[in-house]
Amino acid sequence: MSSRRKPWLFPAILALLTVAAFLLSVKIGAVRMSWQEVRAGLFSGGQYRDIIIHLRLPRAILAYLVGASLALSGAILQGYFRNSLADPFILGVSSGASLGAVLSLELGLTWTIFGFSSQSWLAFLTSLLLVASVYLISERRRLRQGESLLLTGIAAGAMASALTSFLLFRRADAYEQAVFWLLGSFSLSGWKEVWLILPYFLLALIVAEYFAPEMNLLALGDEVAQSLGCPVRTTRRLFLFLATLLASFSVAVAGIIGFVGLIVPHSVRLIVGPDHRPLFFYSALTGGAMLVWCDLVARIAFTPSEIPIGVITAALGAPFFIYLLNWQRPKHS
Amino acid sequence: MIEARIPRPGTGAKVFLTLYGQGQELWTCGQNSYLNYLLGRAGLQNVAADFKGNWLAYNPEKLIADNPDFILILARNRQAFNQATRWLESLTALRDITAIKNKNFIFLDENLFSRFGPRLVEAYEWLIKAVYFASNSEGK
Repeated sequence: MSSRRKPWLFPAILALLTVAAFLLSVKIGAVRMSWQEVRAGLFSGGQYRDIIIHLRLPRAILAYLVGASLALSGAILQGYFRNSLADPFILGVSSGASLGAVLSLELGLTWTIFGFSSQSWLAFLTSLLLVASVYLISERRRLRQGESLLLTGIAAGAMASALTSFLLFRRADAYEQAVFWLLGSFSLSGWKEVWLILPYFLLALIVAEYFAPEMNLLALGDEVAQSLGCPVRTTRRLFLFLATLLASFSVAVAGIIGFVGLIVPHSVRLIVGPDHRPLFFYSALTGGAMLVWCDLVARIAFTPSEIPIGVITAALGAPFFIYLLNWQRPKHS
Repeated sequence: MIEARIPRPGTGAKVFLTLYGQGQELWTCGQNSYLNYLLGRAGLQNVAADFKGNWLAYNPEKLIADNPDFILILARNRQAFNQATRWLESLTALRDITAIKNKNFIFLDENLFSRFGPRLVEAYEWLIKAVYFASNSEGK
């Protein structure tokens, strides 16, 4: 690609796409309004204030943060496993979250804490618990730990999915509820979701950027990294923790949104190269912009109804990804 | 006596009917649903009636613009209904909707309303009593 000759091109296009995504997200929706009315709603009240300030704006920002979190999580895990098939949900975050959400329905829990439903909380906790146990089990293996972790994660995910299916099978009436929750949506997201996820996302981005050189060493293999002075075990633990928590937070506020965490880091790697510092940074920014665009489509394609955003990310993302993989000659691979 | 209180179709209060519990979404009944017909029969205007469909996830900003007078909530019991009203009241974006400002929530028994059949007559009676006689007492 041309990034070596024109290093400003990719950041410029990305910035343009991001700004355009936000402007259109605030402007376009089921209720039509002019630019003047949008400006009035943003800065001086007016009849559309609630729609703009409490629906469209937080929704766009949350979509951005969730997209950025998932893409960053994917970029970290792809580096961690030295495997470009890794994505945020590979260690069972999504299966764990599904199990938690269904469990909450099964138990008939109806409480809310800090404005978040029992489903969100249980999904968050079970996903963390699942990944933690996967890690603790596979950590005992000294050799080829990454591979063992990956396979244990897949197996544990399958087990959680089986449990979920069993619970749903027992209670067919809960099935619809669970499915709608899991499909993922930003429909009624407000500022509280934004404030929940923003601090952790920023922290994770800064930490990931700071330790990106260590990730570059890990890419050479654990033994080589160790001999070059990288504290392999600690670094691996840190990155796994960052990635898992990013994915769990995203699932808790927005459900399971697939594909962003897989294709964004991959596509960004084709453009900026394998160095993890720019890779983490641009993955996050690209993932954010992509999800704002996808949410825009999810919102307006079938007005006044909405479609789950996960459908859009895969339906639009997959063809683009296939194009990128097969029709471009990657320079760095 | 009851019939006299019912406005002609399309002239009564604006209502939004929602099925509680389907994730974080506002599920409602569109033009082709029997519930839309039932609401029309009861002299109510379903705000989602211009959408040609059966069930759909309604767009919240459209709901703000529609500004319904009543929100009818299909829930499996009183407890779920109360939970639904708390949830709707907690959404900052929807605070200026007439129904939410005035706490005009009406409980509809999911068991009675969510299936099409002979008991729809009972459902109709429940609806009329709840809307026009402010009787929310289980339709008895």
